Amino acid sequence: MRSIRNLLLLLLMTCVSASSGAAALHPGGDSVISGVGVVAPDGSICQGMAVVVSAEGRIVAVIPADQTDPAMVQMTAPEGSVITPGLHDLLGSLGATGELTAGTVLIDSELRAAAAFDPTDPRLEDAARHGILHTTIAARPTGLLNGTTATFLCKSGGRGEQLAEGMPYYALAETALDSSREPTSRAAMVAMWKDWLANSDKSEQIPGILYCPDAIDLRQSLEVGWSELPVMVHSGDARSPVDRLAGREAMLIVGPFPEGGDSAPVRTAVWAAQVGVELAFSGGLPAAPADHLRTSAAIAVAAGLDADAARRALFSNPARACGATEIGVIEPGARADLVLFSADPLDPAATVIQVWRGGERMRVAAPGVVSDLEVPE
Amino acid sequence: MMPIRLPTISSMATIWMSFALTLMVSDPLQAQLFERATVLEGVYLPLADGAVSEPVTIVIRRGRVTEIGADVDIPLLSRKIDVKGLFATAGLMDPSSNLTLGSASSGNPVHSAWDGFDRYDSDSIRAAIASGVTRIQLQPSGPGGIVGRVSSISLSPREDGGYGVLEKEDVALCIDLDQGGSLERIRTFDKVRAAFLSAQNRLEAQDEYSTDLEEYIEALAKAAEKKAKEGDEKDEKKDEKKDEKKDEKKDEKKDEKKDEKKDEKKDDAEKKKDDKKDDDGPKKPSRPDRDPGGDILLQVLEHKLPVRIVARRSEDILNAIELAQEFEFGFQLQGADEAHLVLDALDGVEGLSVLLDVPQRSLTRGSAPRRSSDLIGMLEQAGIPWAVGSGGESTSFWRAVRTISGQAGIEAALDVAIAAAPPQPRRRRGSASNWLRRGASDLILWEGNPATDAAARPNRVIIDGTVVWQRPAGTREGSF
Repeated sequence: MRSIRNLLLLLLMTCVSASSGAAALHPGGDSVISGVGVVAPDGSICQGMAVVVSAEGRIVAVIPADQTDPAMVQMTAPEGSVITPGLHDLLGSLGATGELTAGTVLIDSELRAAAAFDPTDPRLEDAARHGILHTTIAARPTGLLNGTTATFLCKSGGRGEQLAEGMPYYALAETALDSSREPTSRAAMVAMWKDWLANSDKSEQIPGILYCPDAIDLRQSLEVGWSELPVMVHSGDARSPVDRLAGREAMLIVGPFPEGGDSAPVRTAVWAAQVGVELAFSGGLPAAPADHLRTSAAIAVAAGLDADAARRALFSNPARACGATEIGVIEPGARADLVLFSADPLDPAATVIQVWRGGERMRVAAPGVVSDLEVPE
Repeated sequence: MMPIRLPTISSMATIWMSFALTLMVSDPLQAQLFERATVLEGVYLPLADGAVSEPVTIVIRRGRVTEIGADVDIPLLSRKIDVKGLFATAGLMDPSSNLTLGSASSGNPVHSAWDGFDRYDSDSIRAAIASGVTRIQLQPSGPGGIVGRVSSISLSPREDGGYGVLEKEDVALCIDLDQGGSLERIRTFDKVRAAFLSAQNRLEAQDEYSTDLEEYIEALAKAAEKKAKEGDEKDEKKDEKKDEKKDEKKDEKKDEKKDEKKDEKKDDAEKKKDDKKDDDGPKKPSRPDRDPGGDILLQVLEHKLPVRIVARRSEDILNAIELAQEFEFGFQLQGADEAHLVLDALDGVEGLSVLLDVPQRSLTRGSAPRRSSDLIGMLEQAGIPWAVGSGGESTSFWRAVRTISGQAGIEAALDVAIAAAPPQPRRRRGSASNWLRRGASDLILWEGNPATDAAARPNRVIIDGTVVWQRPAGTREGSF
């Protein structure tokens, strides 16, 4: 039933975009990836679909595969393969140069993580080969407000393509305490938070991303008086406070969950999802293993997380968390940052077959012999 | 016509009394007669060809699956478990686990992994069971070199508390050539080689000792025979001397002083004779010193104990081959990430099998060994049997199997996970058979088809007829 509903949803989106004229198919300019399962924005997989990509690198439509014009088909995907938006390394340090800190300024709204991005980092390219097409970086959370995050396309060379302006990055955690300036104690930090939320201009209080990794941080974050909850970064096991997020349209950034790691944070994340909290998996590149995002998802699914919720946590929710509206989903108008997996990306057996960045296909496997090298047409 | 003798009431009573007594006294008999069968109704079996069976009934008696089928007779008074819609397979076996070992470290072949197994670490063990693993080969770890012996353990609950029943303590001797930097690894290899050389010398010394001992026993027997002959002759002479002494008694008093001197001389002469005898007699060979660690290495040299060598980089794999060829033993190569680079060298090694785990690839170049995505294809082409282990706490075993199966393009991941301990030259694509058979004692009941569904996960685990783990209604375990 859900698949039918999603199919109808996708068809509806296609019809709307077609009727608006903004996404009409352009023979000769558009290309089609046909015969695939497509990860829908709600995390489910719609089988037997085709994705139409414009020459400008945007998704034009998602239609049933049997309705495609064979002349436009650029690639017929292998049976069982699934096309997804790019994976997103959220709040790792992929592409960041050096260590970006807020210094001694407690509330630093001027600090821009984008300044620390290094588009020449070759690891961006390596990450893309593993299906990780987006990276969001942020300053170290040493103040209450640590500037804004920045989201980039994983592509080496050029000037770096920033995909979102970024969200304010807050902290209510031990990392914000400093003996050389206020606050020096947790009590003072919580008091400052309450004061800021009560007395500062409401227009300044943009609900961005709040770093509250431990259970006590999350508990106190919920008590300081947010009018609209920020996205919370939580890697601890605050099972009781998580109950209070129920029904509040909350989102938690959780993980990364390494193999053999503590199971308590995993159970907390699963519990949070079960009470209605949306999840997004935190990134850990370049230090973590290249496929750590999918590993986190597989571990959470094994612990009881719903598969659709896990796919949302991999694709659409990280984009939502960092305010990037054009990535993370496969729908008309979105960027054609796509990854073709051999199977459901939650399956550890799935491998990356093909990657498109802005509609441009990139080589996934390293060339083995000279004849394998791609010659530009 | 013979008259029929009916049993009297008293004899009937005696029979019944003795029957009742037998039942009261004999526990196994009681168990056989009165143990209720466990019946699982309406479960599906994933089949090797990708299909799914019709709903079947599984009967478990005395801890083992006795019947599987759609039209199975359900025994009277059986205990039914409602598992409709779940998928049944045998339990998974992780051939490379360090479950509960934590920081326990060993550097001696005398230590077995079973020594370090913490049967009361129920959190870790239950997490492994919850992932579908019911049996493990526990592998010791240490600072490198010979780190101990691998033990085989069933994760069933124990009657005296905790989990884990030892199935075999000596599965293999484990040698780790993968620890530390390159120089450290060379030193480790030299140490291992020295240990085996010493064991080889010990083997020669023991051979010599056994030969010497046999010769000694023979010589001892001859000496005893000779002594016996000499004894007979002496007895005869003594008898003659006794007669003479009787005559001489009369003159005793006269010659007291002379006799004393004679006796002294006699004693001296006898003493000299005895000393001479000791020098001439067989000398007992000295037994080689006791060395329990060396004795275990001897078992390897005598091909009584298999060897597992952990090596990932090409140079360590070559060292492992050198070691095996010098001391003439087959081995199981664990890790083997760079095996594709030295495949020619591996090709000729007798008794070789490979145990793979999932390498943790980092984006930092040069930080990890290089693994070819087609390693399994190359191993199969070379006819080298392979298997997959978690290399960790076993909770990741199923994911490791799926990851590696995916890389190798193997559809029957279950076959890799359920198979018995390697080495077994049976890995062929699509060679899987059905994954639950009569006689199995471990069962996993999955939510979803584990053969096809990435999100399939165990719902219940049954070992020896007992449900040892069941997925809680919510996943909120513990308290905060």
